[in-house]
Amino acid sequence: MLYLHEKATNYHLLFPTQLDVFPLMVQKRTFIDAWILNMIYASLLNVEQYLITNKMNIER
Amino acid sequence: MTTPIHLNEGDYLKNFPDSLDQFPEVIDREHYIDAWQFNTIFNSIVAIEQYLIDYKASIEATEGNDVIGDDGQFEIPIPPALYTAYKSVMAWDSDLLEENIKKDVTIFGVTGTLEIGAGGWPFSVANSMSVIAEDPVSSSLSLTVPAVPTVSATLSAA
Repeated sequence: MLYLHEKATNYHLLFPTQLDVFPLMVQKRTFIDAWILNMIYASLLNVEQYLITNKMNIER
Repeated sequence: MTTPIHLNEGDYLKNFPDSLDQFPEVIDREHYIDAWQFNTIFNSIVAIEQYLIDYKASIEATEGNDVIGDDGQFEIPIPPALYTAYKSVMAWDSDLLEENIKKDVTIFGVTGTLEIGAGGWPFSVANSMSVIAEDPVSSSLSLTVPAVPTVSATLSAA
């Protein structure tokens, strides 16, 4: 079975306007590239930033 | 040396936003890192994002202030905003004055001072009569008439 490298340019961080678009990982098919982990980190930071930006409203 | 095992995706439930999602504790050299573990991370992130987007209007709403209606406005719209406790809406009418209200009658906190003249109110419940219309289709018309003689005479002539 051939492992494939997904292309980072096919997936987008769109939050908070829209949902982020992540790849669908397939067992023994999708290579775990560094950009996938970096995308996860970036996505989590976007969510955290959104929550921090609106912290006053959320916590009032 | 132990042989790594595959964790089972079905053992970990997606519960957000009702409760927390379940994730495995992955241990070096004991567990394989399988594709589903990435997918479950993606799914959880997307679920959180969806939740935040669904409540975006509330989360980002500005704080609402007291609202004052226009003169005589019967129905006062409340602007979209997040209102904390003890905000108020005030309706007012420039005709709501004590001199426009019968003496000793209080309407919305304004006690009237208007006193009736010698003729009394134009119409009185105590003095009434019935007028039969000439056209029977119109049936009968019930009026209350004042004790004032001039008004009574006008009705009789009609």
